[in-house]
Amino acid sequence: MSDVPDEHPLLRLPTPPPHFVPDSYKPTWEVVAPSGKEKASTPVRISVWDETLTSPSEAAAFRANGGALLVLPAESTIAVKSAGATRVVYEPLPDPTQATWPGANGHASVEGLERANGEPRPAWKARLDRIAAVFELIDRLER
Amino acid sequence: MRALIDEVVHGAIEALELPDGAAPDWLRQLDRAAVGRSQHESVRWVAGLLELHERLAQRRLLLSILAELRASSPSLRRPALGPAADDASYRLTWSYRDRPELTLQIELGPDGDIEWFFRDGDLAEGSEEPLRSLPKRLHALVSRFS
Repeated sequence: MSDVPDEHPLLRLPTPPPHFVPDSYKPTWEVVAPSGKEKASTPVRISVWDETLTSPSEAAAFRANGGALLVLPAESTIAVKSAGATRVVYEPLPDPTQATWPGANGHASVEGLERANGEPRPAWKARLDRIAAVFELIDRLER
Repeated sequence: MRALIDEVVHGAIEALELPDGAAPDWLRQLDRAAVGRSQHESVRWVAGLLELHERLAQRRLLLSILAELRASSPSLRRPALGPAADDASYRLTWSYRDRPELTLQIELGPDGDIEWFFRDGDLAEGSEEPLRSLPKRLHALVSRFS
């Protein structure tokens, strides 16, 4: 798997979206926390999109469930890695039938977000919280 | 006109923030998605509280906790509200761009268990295991978000 270039912006579409977001809200650790399914993979990776290859609406089309999604852009891959992620790599979509959909080639994954053995829960959340703060909440994407 | 709208919104918030209150019928008929997209934080707060009213198990505890924290920090800012990824737990989160180093989160489990997390820069603290009551420590921490 090849690394996403450092200068490429990323998109993260976490679920579920919050019911209320105050003005000047800063995303927190849970938006980059691996889901139960993501924790089961080796290595543990969370799904992101290279925004130079995939638009927010294209990324949203890969989500099976309807409803609003949060769109969280990060300025660059290097910003995410500087905040604590170990690697950002392109990764084929798990469903091969989606490989020809618009924007499919922008699917990528961030590594290094799982809780290490013996890592206290607050320390793990703080590590993810610093990475989440690199992302910016721009809007809910209605589908 | 704006004053009238503010008065209606204020009345709606007052009704919806009562831990034992029920959402008035006229509020339940609102298009929650549309209200939730408002540019005004207080209007979006109404939509958030309406969503919370659908979660009977956690609503009373969450609103009681919020009232308790506001009693010690009256100008406490509004937290983000929303379900955890498993949809069983519910979270209140204080996290703002103008306070980039600070995050406080309280998570309520379906059985009323409480977990919390606080970060101030590189310092972090929080619960390792679910708790049965709100730690007193949170009163001091939440004052940082006024």
